[in-house]
Amino acid sequence: MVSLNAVLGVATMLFGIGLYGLLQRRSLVAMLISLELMLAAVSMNVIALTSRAGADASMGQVVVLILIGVAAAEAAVALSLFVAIHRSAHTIDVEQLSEMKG
Amino acid sequence: MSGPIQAALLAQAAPLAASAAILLGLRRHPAAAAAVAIAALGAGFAASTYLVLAVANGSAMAQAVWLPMADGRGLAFGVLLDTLSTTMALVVSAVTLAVMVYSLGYMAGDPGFARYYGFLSLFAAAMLGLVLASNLLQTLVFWELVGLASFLLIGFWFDRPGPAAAARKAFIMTRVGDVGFLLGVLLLIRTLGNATIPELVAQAGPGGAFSPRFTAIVASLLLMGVIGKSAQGPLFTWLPDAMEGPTPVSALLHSATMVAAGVYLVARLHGLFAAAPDVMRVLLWVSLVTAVAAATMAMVAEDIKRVLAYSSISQLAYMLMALAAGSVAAGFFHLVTHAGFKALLFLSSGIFIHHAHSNAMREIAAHSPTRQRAATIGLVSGSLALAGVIPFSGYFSKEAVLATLGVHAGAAALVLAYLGAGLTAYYAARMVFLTLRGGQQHGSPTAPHPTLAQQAAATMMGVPVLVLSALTLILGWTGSWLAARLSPGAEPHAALELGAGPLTALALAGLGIALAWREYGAKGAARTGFVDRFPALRAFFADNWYLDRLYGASVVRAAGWLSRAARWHDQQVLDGAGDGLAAGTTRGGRMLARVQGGQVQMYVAIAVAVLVALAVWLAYAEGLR
Amino acid sequence: MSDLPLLTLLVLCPFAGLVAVLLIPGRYAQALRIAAALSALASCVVTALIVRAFDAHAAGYQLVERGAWLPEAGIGYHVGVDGLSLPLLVLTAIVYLTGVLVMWELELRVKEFFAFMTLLVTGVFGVFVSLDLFFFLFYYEVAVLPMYLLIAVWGSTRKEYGAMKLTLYLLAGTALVVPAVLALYVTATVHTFDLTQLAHAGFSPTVQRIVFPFLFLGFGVLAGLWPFHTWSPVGHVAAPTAVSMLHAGVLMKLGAYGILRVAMTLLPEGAAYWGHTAALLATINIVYGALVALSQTDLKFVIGYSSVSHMGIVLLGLATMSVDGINGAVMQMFSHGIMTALFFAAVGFIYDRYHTREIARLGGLSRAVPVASAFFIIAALTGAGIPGLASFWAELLVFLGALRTWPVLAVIVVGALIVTLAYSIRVIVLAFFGEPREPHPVVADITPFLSLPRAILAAVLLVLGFYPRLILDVIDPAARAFVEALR
Repeated sequence: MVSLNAVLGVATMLFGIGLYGLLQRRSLVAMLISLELMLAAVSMNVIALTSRAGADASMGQVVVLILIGVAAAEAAVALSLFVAIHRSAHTIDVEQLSEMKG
Repeated sequence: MSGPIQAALLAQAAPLAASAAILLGLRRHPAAAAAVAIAALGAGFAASTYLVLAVANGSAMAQAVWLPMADGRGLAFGVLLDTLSTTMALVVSAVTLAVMVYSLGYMAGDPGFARYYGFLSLFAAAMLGLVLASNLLQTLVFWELVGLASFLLIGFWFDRPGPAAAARKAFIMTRVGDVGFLLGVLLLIRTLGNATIPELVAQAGPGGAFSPRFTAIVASLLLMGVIGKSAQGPLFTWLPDAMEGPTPVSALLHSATMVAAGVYLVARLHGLFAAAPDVMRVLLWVSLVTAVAAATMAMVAEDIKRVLAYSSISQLAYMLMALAAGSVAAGFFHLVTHAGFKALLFLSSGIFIHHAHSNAMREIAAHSPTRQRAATIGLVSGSLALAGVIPFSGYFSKEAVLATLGVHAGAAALVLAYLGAGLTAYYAARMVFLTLRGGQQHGSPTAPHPTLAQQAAATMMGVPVLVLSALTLILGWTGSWLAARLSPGAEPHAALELGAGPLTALALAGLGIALAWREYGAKGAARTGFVDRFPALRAFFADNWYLDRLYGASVVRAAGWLSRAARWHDQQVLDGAGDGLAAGTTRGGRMLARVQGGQVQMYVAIAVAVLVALAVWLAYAEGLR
Repeated sequence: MSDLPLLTLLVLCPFAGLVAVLLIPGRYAQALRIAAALSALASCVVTALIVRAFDAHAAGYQLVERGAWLPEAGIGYHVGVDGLSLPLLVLTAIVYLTGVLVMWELELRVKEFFAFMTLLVTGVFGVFVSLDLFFFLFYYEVAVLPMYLLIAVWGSTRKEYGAMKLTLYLLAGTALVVPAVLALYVTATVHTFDLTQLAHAGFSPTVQRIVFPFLFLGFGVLAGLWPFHTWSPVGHVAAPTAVSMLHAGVLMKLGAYGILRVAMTLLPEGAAYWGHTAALLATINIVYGALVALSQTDLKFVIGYSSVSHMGIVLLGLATMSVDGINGAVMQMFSHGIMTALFFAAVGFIYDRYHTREIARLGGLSRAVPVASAFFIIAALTGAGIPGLASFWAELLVFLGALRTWPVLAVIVVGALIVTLAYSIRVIVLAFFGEPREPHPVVADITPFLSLPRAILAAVLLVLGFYPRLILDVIDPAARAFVEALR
């Protein structure tokens, strides 16, 4: 059995990579991918912690399944928004999409 | 309401109503305007005549509450009829009537003819109101209205720069004195609860409630108003400039009305002023210096109206010095005779000016002035009265003034007054000689035959002049009547005794006239005065003793500087502070807005950083527990 | 007659005008003008009825109407009028009517203009009749806020700047007033916004001394109190004619009225404690305003600063807390309101025709447009305190009150009359006398119809100048009761 710390460490690494990507990449698509990575890290944490906490382990698995579903839906919505943004602004570079700035 | 009270109200209300009717409805009907104005003032004149006859002694008063006051009783306005006010009302309405008739000719054809009569009526109403007022505050009200009317009349030809500036100067300069007057009245109301003239005179007198200190303060404040209005002391320089108005207006303002108002006020409140001997001493010396100073200025003036203006200042000073020395009768007597001969002089000079189209005496002389018979008679008889030559009116009244000074004021004052009298005779004679003699004739020897309208105008102007000329011979004999009327208790002064005093005065007058004859009148005279030999002195005299320059360099400049400083302060400091605060707020907002840069990744970074910080802080806090 | 709710009706008159203006489509400009004029006329009629129903001899509030509004919070509908507010109602009605008539030639967005103007007047009437602080402040804001749009849209010279400055200053004033009112509400023993009840709440001296400056300064901003006056000349200059008239003629009075009705009524001890400061500021107002007016180059700026100076006289009168002073202050509010309205109406005509207000470019107007000029000159002479015109009496009473309380300040203020006369005469001589300084278009003199509003204003000044008791007899009993209550 893998130790809890190992799983949490992998999840943290995954979250860190995702955060780095989110902050670093300019492309909205790349940022979305990074976001998915962070979400995956969260899912891992939930699985790992529920399985060891002595509670009903299946509860954690249900939550993660819902999370995966939400993430998929979210990706779909996000990608369609990106297409719409690309149509109107001809770019999906976040640096240039700053119309709302104060 | 008794007859005299009604007459007094009529005398004020008729010109006021005429003025309103003319200015509101008759501006385009000159003939009707003049008719209304003269009819109204005729009614005022008749009412005043009746008043003089009806009020032979004592006093009558009728008042109504005009202004609610803190004490609950309110301030009452009304008319005060006694020998002084009724006599003054007669003098005022007579002179004004003469001027109105004269103006029919003088102002004929002026585009503002109707407006002129509207202003004249307003002036007459204000002046009569001033004379008949029963309350000192009411006096002040009409006093200011006289100032307003004179502003309008001096600036009658308002589209020329000269009259406009002169009107402004007259108004503001007299206001300087009026501030003192207002303060004095306020102080009286504060102390007494009202300002009814007989009452405040009684309170100031022996056994009254006023302390000597208070009386002195009030008297000196009121004196400021007198000095401003009667063009005395340091505040007289507005008067020569006021000659920019139409000549009949000058006649009106300088004879019996506006400038005489100050003298009248001192006579009216003589009881109060007499209770402040120190103030009276100041007035005496102010008027003595003014009398001589103005005479020196008249000696070098080239403009006939300016000569007359300086002579007004000087003669007003004589009235005031008589009052300051203690004699209401003498001062008022001189006021009456001066009203006659000064109006006469102005109206005569107006005829010359009308013909020569110039105020310069040497210019008038070049237009064969002696052909204006009435004006010549007027100028000569008026000047003789001014110079104090027996039997013209000025001799008697000036004699009364000098006699008063001799009794009450001491030698130094008398010497100054005699000096002024001699100079007066000199400049009066100089004026006559310069105007009437020895000009090079360059008008056409045969004047074009005057049209009918011109003849009518000449008649209108000639009749008042001749009437006033006759009066210079008559008014001199009213002295004892006036004295008996105004101060019945006092013994009549002996003006007709040819003692040392009168002889000295006559000799000085003769000397002055003789000197003027040598310099200006005689055949082949150089037509330059002895003052002309000292250019610096001449410039000093001709330039109002440099007072105007002094004011220009000090008060006027300081006011301008102060005003610009206040304006700068307002724009830069106060408004700047407001604007600065607004600009600072805007800038601060911009700075904070930079955080909201529209960069999603920056938002995320900040959110993460804050979360991490929170987590660390929570963990730390947990660890402490 | 007396059972009609006249005061409510009065507030409803301009409001009905507002509704009518909103219902009429914008393209019927003439109908809009007539609707506004009718509403103004109705206000005048109702005001006349109020004057008739008013018993001048009785002190205290009359024509009172009461109703529950939000009893839980202590808010009630309570209106009434006394001798201190009645002249201001008359003033507002006159300025409203003449203001509408003066704007008859307006062509730009007529509908919106009259909508905002009627809204503003609704607020002003509301303030003057309200005896409940909540409604007082509500109407106060209703009166103040339309100014921004009226100036920013229909104004001239730097209009957005002027409008924004005015709004910010006035809101700053409100920001002082509202917390002060809430503080009173909280500290009072009775939980009510009713002025008449709060007046008997007996605030402790400490509370009074702390709260009074907030109210005084807050309302003072609107009254043009030095050093918070700079919004007012700038706003006057930017505003269109009728708005200037309402602004200087009526709106600035709201501030002074607030000090009188709220600050001094509720906090007499506070007023006494801060009296010397208030009097000093008022004196600075008078002298400073006159001095600044002396060197202005724009006709409207001269009038603007003269307003600052004249409002100082109102404030000084209030600060004396004496019968004479209050009498004078209220009368000065009235006569200054009429006078500035006439001022701005006269200047409005000149600006419409000559397209300049620069004194240096005018000159000789009395020759070119004698009647229009005469109106300006009458207003200027009123401002200079010439007797025979209404302001003289008001100023006299204020001076008299001040001489009793602060002799030194009174002497300074009376001395400032010289400056007042100097700037008035300066404008008359430079702009109206003399010759035109540059060629101007030939302009026809003012038409009788456009003279009408100006003539009404001038007539009021002359009549009151001749016989001041017409108004003082109304003010006096109320002023007496007011001063009595202060002790």
